[in-house]
This record gives sequence, C-alpha cells and structure tokens, in this order.
Amino acid sequence: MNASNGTARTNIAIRGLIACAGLLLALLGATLSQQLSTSNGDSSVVALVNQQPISIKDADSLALELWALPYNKLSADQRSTAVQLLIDQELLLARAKALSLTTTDPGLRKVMAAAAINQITNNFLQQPVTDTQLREFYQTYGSIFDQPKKIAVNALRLTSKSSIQQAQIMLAEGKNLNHISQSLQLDPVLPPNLLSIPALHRYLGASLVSHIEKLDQDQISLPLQKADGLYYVQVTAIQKARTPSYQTIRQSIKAEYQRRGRDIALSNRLNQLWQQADITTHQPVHNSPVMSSPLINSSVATEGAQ
Amino acid sequence: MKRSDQLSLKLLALAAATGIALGGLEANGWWQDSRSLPTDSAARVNHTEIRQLDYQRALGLMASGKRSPLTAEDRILVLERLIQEELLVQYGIAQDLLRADRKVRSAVLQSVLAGLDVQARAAVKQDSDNGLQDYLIELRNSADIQIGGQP
Repeated sequence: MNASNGTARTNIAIRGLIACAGLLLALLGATLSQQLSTSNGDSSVVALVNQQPISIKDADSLALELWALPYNKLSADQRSTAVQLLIDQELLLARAKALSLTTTDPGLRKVMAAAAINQITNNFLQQPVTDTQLREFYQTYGSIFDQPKKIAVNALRLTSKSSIQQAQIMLAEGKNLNHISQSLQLDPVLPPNLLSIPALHRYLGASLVSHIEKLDQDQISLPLQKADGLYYVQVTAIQKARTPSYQTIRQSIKAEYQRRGRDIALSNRLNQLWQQADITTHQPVHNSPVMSSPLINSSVATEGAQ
Repeated sequence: MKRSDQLSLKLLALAAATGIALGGLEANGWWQDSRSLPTDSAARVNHTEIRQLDYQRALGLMASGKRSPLTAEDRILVLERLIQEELLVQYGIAQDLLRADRKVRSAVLQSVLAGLDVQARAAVKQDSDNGLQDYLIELRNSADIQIGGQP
C-alpha cells in the first residue's frame, strides 16, 4: 500500500514537472529561438529594438544618404552614428504605430494609401511579361494602336485683290502653292507636315477639310471662299490609316499592357480586401466594378493571391 | 465521485463551453455585426469607424467641384472611396509599409517630430531640441535594444 502510494506520488510529481517544462517552453520559446538566431551571428541585422530588426539594408540606405558610402565602408564612429539614428527612428516609428498616427492623421492616411497602391501596382509591374502575352494582347486590342489617316496640306489664304490676281497668274503658269506662298510672302496657314483629320479641322475648319479629303496627292483645289479670305489648298502627301506591325510598336504595346494591368491589379486587390472585410454602413454600398481583361487576368491573378 | 463534485464539474464544463462559444463568435465578428452603427459614424471597416464628419467633409469637397447638386450616386461614390481608402490604409499597415516605404517612414517621422516640437514649445522650453532628446532618452530607456543582434 505504501509502495503504491509512493509510486502514485512520484508519477504525479513527474507529470507536474513535465507540465511546467512545457509551459516554460511555450512562454519563452519565441525569445529563445530569436536569441539563438541572433547568437548565431545573423549578419543581416545591425540592431534589434523591442525585437524589431533593423536590417543591413536599412543601414546601407541611411549610410548612402548621409555619407554616400555603403554601411560596411563606414568608419566605426560613422557606423555607431548610423545605428543610433536607426534605433531612434525605430523608436519613433513604434511610438507612432502605438498612437495609431497613420490611421488618425489625415495626411499620413493619404501617404499610407498611396504607398499601398504603389506596392500593389509595383508587384504587378515586377512580373515578367512574355512575348506570347504581348502578341495576344496586340491581336485582341490592335485597334487602339491604329494610326489614323494623315494628310500634309499646303494652303494659301488670300485677302487682297492684288494677291488673288497674282496667285491666279502663277497657278495658270503651273506653280505650286508653296512657291506662290513664298513669292507673295504669305504667312503659313498651317504646318506643312502630316496632320490628322481632327488637326486639320482645327486649322482650316470643316468645310475646307471636306474639300481636302476629295483631293488626290499634289492636286490643287478650286478657289474656296471663306469669311476670312480666299483659300487654295493642295495635298502634298497622304498617309493611309494603318496598324503598325507588332515589332515596330512592341514597346508601346508593352506600355499599354502594363498600364491596363496596373489598374486591374489594383482593382482586384481592392475587391479582395472588400470581400474579406467586415463593412457596415447606414446605406448599401458596393465596390466599384472589377476591371478585367481575359488576357491580363492570368498575370494579376498571381499578384492578387499574394 | 460525490454528487457535488459531479455538479461542479458539469458547471465548469458548461462555463468553459460558453466561454469558448462566445470567444468564437467575437473572433468572427458576430458581436460586432450585431452592434448597430452609431449615427456619428458613416461606416465601419473591420472595427475602424469612418466618422460622419470626415464623410461630410469629403462630400463638401466633391460638391465644390460640381456645378450641379450632389446626387444619391455621388454620395454613395464618396462613401465607397472612403471605405476603399480605409481598406488600403489597413492593408498598408499589415504590410508594415510604415517601415518599408520610404515616403511613409519619412512622413511619419516628420509628423512625430513636429508633434514633439509643438509640445516642447507649448511647455515654453527655449530649446525645442532638448525636448526631442529627452523624449528619445525616455524611449530608449524603456526599450529592449540589442546592437548587432547581441545584447
């Protein structure tokens, strides 16, 4: 009887000791693990402030800013100064976080939201874009890269009887409008280079442009009377509407792909955050419609899952 | 086992189960959901409330840029934008952009330093730098700092 009692007491004591050991391990385990890792000489950390590491990368950034040198090239005094500065910064940042400054200060909220947007869009931009993806995008959205029809025009605006008579004489002699304009020392009515139809409208107005569109290259129009003078117009070059080849505008295609992809990545992330959040309002609200493109979603899906 | 012991055990089990159930409900936000939104809040996003004051201010900004009066759709759009901003702020905090993003880090430090400067001037200290140094000394004394990862 006494032996069994003794054994039972021993068992209870052993169980108690094991339980205490487990409890101690659970309470101190995280600290022990961190101390082990730091005592192994974690060279990526220059300091720990309330267990928040200050990395070599942070030290390098500060050293470059202050002395235009990387951290490992600094003197001992400079390193000490840099580390102290970083420690002070971390203390202040931790204090700001404890005071919830970034959630309450309107200016800091804007900066934080902008930084979040930058991170989301930069995560997308860092993803490599393959040639296949760009070609598929170009084939689907090729119309946005179309170059419109352009026309190069010479125009004469004649306001005096004498200039009209002289112009008509030179036209009869077969002179072109450029020659006549120089002879009569007239100011150019519009730039001589290729211009789109909307640009021509801005310079000459709709009625003149409608005549221009009927002319062939080098053809000179009949005299066209407008309120501000008598016009002659001559088409000097025509460039038809065209879609440039993939190779010639590959950079533009990539830029447009990335521009749309950034917007989609941000939209997807916001939708994800909205769906995961607990949102209460007095009136029904919903997140903006998801921007999507079947060609870009495969890329941003990876970003959205991060 | 005595009846009183059995009763005690049952009560203990019941209390534990109730506590676990309430804890689970609170973790899932059911308790929060069941609370109605106060009238001085325009919205609540994950336990953070968007004040009516801020909502009205945002409406005022929008109205100043419009020639016609605000419509119901405008009001909803403004509220949605405020909610989106709050979601982004919470996302930024979760991603520790306070430390990782240079602009946020710089802005927060400037804000903290400006606040210390204001406090120092309010206390009629001639040299506001002393106020900052004193504050930093206080923070350092209350922190666990290890240089090079070593104590």
